[in-house]
Amino acid sequence: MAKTTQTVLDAHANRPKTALRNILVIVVLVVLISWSSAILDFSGINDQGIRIVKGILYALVDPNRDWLFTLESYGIPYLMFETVSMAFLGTIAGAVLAIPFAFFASRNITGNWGSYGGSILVTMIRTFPVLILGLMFIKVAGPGPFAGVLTISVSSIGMITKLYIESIEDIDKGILDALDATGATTIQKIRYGIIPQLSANFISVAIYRFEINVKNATILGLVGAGGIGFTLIAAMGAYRWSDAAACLWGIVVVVLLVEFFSTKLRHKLITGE
Amino acid sequence: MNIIEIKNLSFSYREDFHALNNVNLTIRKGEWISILGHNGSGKSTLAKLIVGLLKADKGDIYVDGILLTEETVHEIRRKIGIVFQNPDNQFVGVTVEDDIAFGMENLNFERSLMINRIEDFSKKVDMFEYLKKEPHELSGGQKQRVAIAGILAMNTDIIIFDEATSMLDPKGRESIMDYIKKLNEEGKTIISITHDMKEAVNSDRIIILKEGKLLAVGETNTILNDKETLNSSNLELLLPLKLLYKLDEAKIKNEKVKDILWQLSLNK
Repeated sequence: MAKTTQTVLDAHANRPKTALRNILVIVVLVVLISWSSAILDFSGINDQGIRIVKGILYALVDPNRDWLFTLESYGIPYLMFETVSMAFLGTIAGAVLAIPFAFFASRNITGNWGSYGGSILVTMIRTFPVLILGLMFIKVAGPGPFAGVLTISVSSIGMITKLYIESIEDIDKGILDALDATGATTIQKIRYGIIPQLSANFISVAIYRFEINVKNATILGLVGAGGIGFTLIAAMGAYRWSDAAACLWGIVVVVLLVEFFSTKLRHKLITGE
Repeated sequence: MNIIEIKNLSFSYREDFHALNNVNLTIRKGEWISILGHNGSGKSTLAKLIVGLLKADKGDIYVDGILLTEETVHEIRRKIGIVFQNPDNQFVGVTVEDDIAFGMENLNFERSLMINRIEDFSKKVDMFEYLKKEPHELSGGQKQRVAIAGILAMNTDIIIFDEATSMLDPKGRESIMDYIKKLNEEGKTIISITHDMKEAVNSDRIIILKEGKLLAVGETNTILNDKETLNSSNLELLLPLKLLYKLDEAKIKNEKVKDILWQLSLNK
């Protein structure tokens, strides 16, 4: 037998024994699925549900064109503009607020303990789902887009901070050494050494979060925090399917456009092409 | 006259590992000294300690008679320029002339003087034609030449080359080595940090660091003749030098061949 074949056979014979572990994983999965399923009511889909789905599907072909193509405040373009504006302002605020959190939680800046403390803080912010935050900020600022902006900014801090930290921890210290050696001041080190290294990544992260926030902003209206969501839920509640379909078309078109331009822009920022 | 004196210098990045351990060293004004050693031997750490980028755990560094402390570090940095390994790391200006001006701006040079010096020193490193160029239009070797021009413009007495050629192609490497030679002939004190023996053979003295300790210090000829030390340093020896050692081992005494190999070892 060739030596190589023997080596392969030996390696196969000495492979880690994983059968027991695999069986255990399957058993745990089965238990978890059965346990979760126990709370579900499998009484099937009722007729009314089917009628609603049909209503929406038909309406998508024939949405309320008056709403789609008017620039009035009840029209889809205006509502989508409000939604995107909420996402934009919320992202800018979140992206700026995340900067001090990120520096505080970066291991190469504050060491292990600082980074640990910062991470706990960021995780705590991230635990609140966006709708819960929305409900909280409606109590603080009253219903409307301002509550939406506050919600989006705070809900963005967690993810943006986490991604900022990765950029900060990857910073090339060689540039700072080179600046130090030429007698650069702290401001110059930030201006020429840190900002050029971080700006492209930071902007890219903010754009990515903006993309997510546009989607978040469309649902915040469901709890009364401004944007198109409020009109959508009202139309659905009143079984006005063509109005709801107009809202859905508005959301789909804007989300696709935002995703397209955001991907292009982020690619350009990171690769410079 | 000694321009740098290092006494009992120790430094650790972490508690259980000495990057430098009790190093004593003097560097004379106007000499070209090469610090050789493997990765992790402490060469770059030594350079960073000399310019105050790192703070020693123990020991003293005197530069031109001034003890390096937090108060004197800026004064000392006016005397020492350092060219780093990565050409991209030290290019901070938007254009070549911006970059050459950067160090002078920090030293508050007058504008008219800066303009003259940018012209003079860009010519000196053959980068005058490129003054308006941006970094992405330059090769690695050209960026290193810009870094040298920036340091020369700051009028420092000592220039440290911290593996400044290791990321360059052979042509770029050769041109930087030519500039080092020229600068030394003009009176600059040169500290060249490298793991490439070929770059060290033209210097006046060689220092070999191993695991944070001084393994050898001596005139270049003396070190190159010290077969035992060189072998224990684990450095990659130049081929002619290896052949020379082999001839010795084989007790072959052809002086003419040995002389040729010796000259080749010295890049001559």
